[in-house]
Amino acid sequence: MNTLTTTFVRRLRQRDESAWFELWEVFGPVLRRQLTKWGGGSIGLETVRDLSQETLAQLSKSIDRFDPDRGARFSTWLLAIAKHALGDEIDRRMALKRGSGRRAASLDPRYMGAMLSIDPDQAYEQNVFCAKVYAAIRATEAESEFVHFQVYRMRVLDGMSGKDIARQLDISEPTVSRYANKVRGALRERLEEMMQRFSFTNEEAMEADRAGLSSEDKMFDEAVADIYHQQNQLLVDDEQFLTGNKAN
Amino acid sequence: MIAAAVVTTLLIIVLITICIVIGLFILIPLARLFKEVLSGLVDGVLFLSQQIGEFIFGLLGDITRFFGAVITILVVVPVALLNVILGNWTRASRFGHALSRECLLLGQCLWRGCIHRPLRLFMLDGLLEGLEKRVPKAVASSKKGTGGVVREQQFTGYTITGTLAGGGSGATLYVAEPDDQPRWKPQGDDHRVVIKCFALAAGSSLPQIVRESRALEAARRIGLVLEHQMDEDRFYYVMPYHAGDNLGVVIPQLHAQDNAQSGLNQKQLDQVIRYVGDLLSTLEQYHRNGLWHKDVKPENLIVQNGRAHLVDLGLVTPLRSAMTLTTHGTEYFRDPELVRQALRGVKVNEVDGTKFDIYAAGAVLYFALENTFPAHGGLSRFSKKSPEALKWIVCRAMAEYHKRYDSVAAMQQDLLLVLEAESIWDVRAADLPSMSHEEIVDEQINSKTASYPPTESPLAQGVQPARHIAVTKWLTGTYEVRGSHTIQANVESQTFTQSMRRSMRVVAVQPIQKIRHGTQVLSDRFKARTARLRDRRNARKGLAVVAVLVIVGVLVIASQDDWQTRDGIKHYSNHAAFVPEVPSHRLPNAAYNTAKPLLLINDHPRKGDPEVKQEVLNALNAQEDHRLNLARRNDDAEVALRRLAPGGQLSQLDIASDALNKLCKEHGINGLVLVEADPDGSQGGLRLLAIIPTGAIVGDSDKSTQLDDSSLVPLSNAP
Repeated sequence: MNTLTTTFVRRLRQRDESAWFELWEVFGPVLRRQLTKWGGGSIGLETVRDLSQETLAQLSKSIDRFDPDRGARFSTWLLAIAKHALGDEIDRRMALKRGSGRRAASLDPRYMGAMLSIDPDQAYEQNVFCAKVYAAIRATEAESEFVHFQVYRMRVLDGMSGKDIARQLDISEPTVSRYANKVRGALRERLEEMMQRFSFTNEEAMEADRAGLSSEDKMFDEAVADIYHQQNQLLVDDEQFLTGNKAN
Repeated sequence: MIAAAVVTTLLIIVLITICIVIGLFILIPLARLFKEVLSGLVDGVLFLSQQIGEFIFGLLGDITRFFGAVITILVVVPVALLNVILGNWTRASRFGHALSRECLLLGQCLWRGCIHRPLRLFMLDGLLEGLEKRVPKAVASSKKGTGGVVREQQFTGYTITGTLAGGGSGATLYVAEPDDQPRWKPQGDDHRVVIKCFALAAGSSLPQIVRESRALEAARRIGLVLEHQMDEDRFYYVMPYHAGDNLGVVIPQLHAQDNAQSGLNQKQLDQVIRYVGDLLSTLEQYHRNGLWHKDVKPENLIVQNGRAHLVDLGLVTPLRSAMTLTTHGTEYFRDPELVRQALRGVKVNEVDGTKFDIYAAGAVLYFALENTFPAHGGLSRFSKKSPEALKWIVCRAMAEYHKRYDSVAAMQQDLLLVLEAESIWDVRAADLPSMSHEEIVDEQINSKTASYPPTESPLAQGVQPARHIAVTKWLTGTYEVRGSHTIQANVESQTFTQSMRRSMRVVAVQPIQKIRHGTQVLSDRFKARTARLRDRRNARKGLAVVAVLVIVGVLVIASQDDWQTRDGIKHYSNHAAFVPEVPSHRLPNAAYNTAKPLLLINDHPRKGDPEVKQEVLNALNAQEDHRLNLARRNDDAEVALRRLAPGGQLSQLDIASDALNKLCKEHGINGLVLVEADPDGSQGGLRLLAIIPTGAIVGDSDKSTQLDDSSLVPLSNAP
């Protein structure tokens, strides 16, 4: 593991609340999507929310037992925990149904070893990757000047022309390009940082390159915009699926 | 002869024809009548057959069920008794339940067979409707309701007329009408009220009651709560009642109209802006009175007569509360920064709660434009066609904590401009007051907080020249505002007393800037402008009315000296009415010409107010000639300093403490300059405090000395 990941895992082990919240913010939507999929429509919105929180709670218990030498991917590790949170919930429900008062199954350390055998599907891997890119966009937004980031948002994420942005903000087109370049530069840095932080293997860390995020500016922007739109739709779709709201 | 035969034949034909016609006219209705009667008879027979069949087969079914239940009872009773004898109480209890269900079935069969079915056969079953449906409902509701706990007559002075669905607080909500003489001034024609009641016996907990009651007195002062009362076993408060749908219902309806799937039209956008304008006006009222709503969301906005009313005081918190921040609120409408701060254990008074309400207001505007919740906060995507200016307002309101609107008033100004525009779609983001005015002020303040000497902000160039203030006489406080008026500011000299020296908090300044235009004025203007606009648009239907309105409009606008026109769009400006009075005293020598900068922290309760910002800017301008080295904003340092300060009050920092010295060294600062409200100012004003820890290195790099008490110069002797 790289230094960024080690530092982050150390913060998690030290029960750093902000590190946990960051993990929740970044991967909460992915977990919800996965739990919704597993639930197959039989578990409701509130339960999915509870379960995704429960996953992180389970993760906080298991983080001390995590062994990086096993060579597991970060995404697989997260998936294993989510799977067992769902398993616990199903056990608990069955136990309640039977009325036997049997305690729900707890997360067993052996699952940590068995997680290598868990085979996440491609959509899940894609969602985890998108979540990392989204975290980088969010971090860039936090550190950039408001106007600069909005210029980048309008230009790249919303697809407005430089001329329209210049008119909207009463600035020149070269200024639009300058602001966008500035934010793009920051985004590249944050992207590298996020990929490193949330990757346990080298293969994971290289995903950004494979997705065209280390290429020239135009390709980079297109890839970022595509991921941004995918990730944005993720939560809305899930929420609408779980609440049966098809209005949109 | 032939002719007579022809005539006779013709007459016979005519007569026959007439008979046939008459016959047809009579026979056809008769046939129809016969058919109706026949079909009626058939229907009657069928109905009777059906009734009789239903009776017979139903009776047979009931008899079968009856005997089935008897057999089941005969089987279950011995088993249940056996379990009782064996002492297996759990199983005995379950068999007991089964037995009771069978007995119930037995009774139902008897009831249906002996009474219900015979009466139904003669169509008299309506007699039993009350007994069979309404009475069980009443019994069930009396079991699960709280009627046993809170009876109508217990609310003295009110008559309960209905109930409302409760939220997550566990309270019961009643709609009531006050008796003859209400103890407050009714709002509008609707005198009805909502009584929110927490009863311990109904499951409410003390923490809930405490949370609900902590801001009630303040809420009562501003009319949000009419009255409140705490008894031994319950607590309730009374609020005005707003009948109507909430915004969570109204907005989807708006989007469903006129094929608005791709976005709202101008009329709908006007309506949405007015709703959000109402929300902002209410929030401004909250904030002005030191409260923070904390749960702004579409479901808490009730639309009544075209106006949106913010309800639910469950989470209202005083902005100056010393309690620890909690994560209460509603997902997607709650700022993630609030959660982060709460997880860090920050106190309520250590954050600016108004900013979290602003975030929620932005989220409500997003919801109104997109008809869906902002799943990704400020990064949420706009998928429907909306004016760029409104998108910008949403993004600014939902931006990072430090980048969003500083106050509700600033957001109101932006919305007002959009509402006033001839075409909402033509308003550019650059036209918004927050861009054309506040950005500049921010840039100017930021430029002051950069390392000295400050560089002029590029945004400020050519847009609005910064005022330059030259102090001519320090003793009298006389100064000159170049390019503007000269003002004599008579300020009492302040002595650097021994007690002040101990804590080294130097009250260095201030003539007091009275805030002439509060946000209340802005709020009133917003409402007035909104109403006027509505009238103006309706008046387009008739030329005469238009002409009258144009004249009136011209007269009104002409009478407003604080409106200026640029690019065909009206802009509100604070400058015309703003007359600066600038602090003329200086900070002690130790604060100037320092090797390391001083961290500027604006702790003024209305720091988001444009005029306060301007005042801060003026205060910093006044220090320009003295080489005050100020640092850019450093949030980490600020949070650490607040944690160090007793009760989070930076003015209470002990400058002699090693911790403060160490903290300043860690963050590369020499101390801090604190901006806060002048305690002597009855209506506003600010003062600057220089807080420099003992032991700090002062002076420039060429001539630095370690600060001790003796190096402090009393203010009155300052050159």
